[in-house]
Amino acid sequence: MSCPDPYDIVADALRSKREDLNINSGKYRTHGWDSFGHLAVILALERTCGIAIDNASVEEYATMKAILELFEKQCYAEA
Amino acid sequence: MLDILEMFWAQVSATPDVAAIIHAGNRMSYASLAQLNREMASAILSASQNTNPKVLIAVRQSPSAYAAMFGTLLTGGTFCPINVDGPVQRNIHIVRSFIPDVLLFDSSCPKEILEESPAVAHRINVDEVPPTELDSRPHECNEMAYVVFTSGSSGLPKGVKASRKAVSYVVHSEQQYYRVTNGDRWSQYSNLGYDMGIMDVFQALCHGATLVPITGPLNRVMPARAVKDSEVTIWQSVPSVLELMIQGNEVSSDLLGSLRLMIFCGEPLLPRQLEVLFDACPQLTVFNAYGATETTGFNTINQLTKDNFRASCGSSTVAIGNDVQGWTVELDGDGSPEEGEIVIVGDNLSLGYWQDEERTRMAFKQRRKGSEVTRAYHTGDYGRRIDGNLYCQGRLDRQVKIRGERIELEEIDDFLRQSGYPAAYSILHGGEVHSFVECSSYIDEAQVRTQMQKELPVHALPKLISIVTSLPKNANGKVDRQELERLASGGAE
Repeated sequence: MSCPDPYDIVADALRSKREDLNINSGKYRTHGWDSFGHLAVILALERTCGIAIDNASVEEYATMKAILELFEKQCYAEA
Repeated sequence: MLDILEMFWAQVSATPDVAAIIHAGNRMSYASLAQLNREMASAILSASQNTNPKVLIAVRQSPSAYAAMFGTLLTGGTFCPINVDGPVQRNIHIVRSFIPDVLLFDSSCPKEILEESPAVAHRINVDEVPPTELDSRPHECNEMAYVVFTSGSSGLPKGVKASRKAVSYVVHSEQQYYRVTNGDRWSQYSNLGYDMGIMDVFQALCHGATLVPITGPLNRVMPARAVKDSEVTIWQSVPSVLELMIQGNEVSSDLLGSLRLMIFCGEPLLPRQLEVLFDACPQLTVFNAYGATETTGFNTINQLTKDNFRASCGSSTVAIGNDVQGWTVELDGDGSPEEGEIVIVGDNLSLGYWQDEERTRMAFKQRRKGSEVTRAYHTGDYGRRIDGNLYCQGRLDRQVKIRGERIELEEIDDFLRQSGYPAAYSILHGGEVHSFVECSSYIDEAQVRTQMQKELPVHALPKLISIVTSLPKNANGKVDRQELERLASGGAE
């Protein structure tokens, strides 16, 4: 199974463009990534990666870097 | 009318063992909170020699933060709460402008604020306040209770001064609508850097309710779960938080069944949002209120139920209701009494802007009728009566509200000009900020955006920064907003 592109998933959740995101993007740092945007990101991660929605995940996946690491782990594990 | 502290002490004395705060599974009684308030006051007085100390509160929502507010008032001082999660440069500006005598902080306080404060303030970690008793001498109280900073058109946030008398009046007068009792649990979602957050604290604790801070990462993005877990009965927030619940599929009788009241203010409430809410929770009473930071509390209020709310949906937003006792709302238009700028007249308006007499004179007009002098605040909001209902229909100037946060577009333009763009003009398009800039030499937009994140709230960050040859002008030589709207919609320059 091919691994989905985390940038596409986050851009889609934030209704922004992929090119507006980079490894430094994150909650309260990037346009659209406010509490609404963050809820959308977390719900998208729940759908695509099956993460549990709890305090830890909401806090952890608040940056593009953490989300990239999550995808790397999942894809590496699948491979 | 009782002062807010007298209202609070009345609750302490009547029901000392009732829970004042439930936070993170811990319960703090009114008697314990009163003790913490006194300890906080004692610590402030030990640190500052000033009779009416200015206290900056850089503490996230918690019992310590609330005790810091009450403790400051006990000393006769004035507090200024900041949003510890706000942009660093903005908070530094607030510290420099307020020049506190004492800084109360906890682990949530950004290090930049601590680094900024040593020269001007005594610093007290609220989690290490010693259990000393407040001496019994009376402290003369300052007429100013607090200062909150909001977006300013000069490019820097401006402080709005709230009088202690006005805050007491608001807490007292709004009780006729909410009828808060010991059995109520009042949510505290709004950040304490905003006046709504401050009012949560006084409204709940001056009327004997239990205050429930909505904290923690999950509760902040999915707040309805916290309503259920803590059996909240009264919810107050901007309508955007209701929208957050709707988007998270959280508006259900299972999650919101404990609520008896929801109070919304700070931005337009939408008919669609009420439809969803009453469909899931028909038992609810909803108050849609209108007010500005400059008017201390709510000036109009609309009581809505599942049976009557449709009569208040004659526009794209929900009607804001009738004048609250003690306030007169006028519409200042060109001849028609049915539409115009919303003007609030009353004795409990803000004392004015922090260290800005000129701006205060411009915004707060004195009116003389014989020997009687009243004050009026011109809100800049456009109001219209439709079928007898008053609706707020946007701004007359360039102030906008994005998800409840007040933003001056001029502040964004000012930042862009300081970043090197010779001219800049921002508009609100489709609910997002779109900035247009003139640019004659290379400017690194990524670098501009990085700096912007440090100085402006996330909602003020432009979705797009578009370079134009020159900003379009109308016949009067002013920036042509309609042309910019057209360009934002995808039209060619």
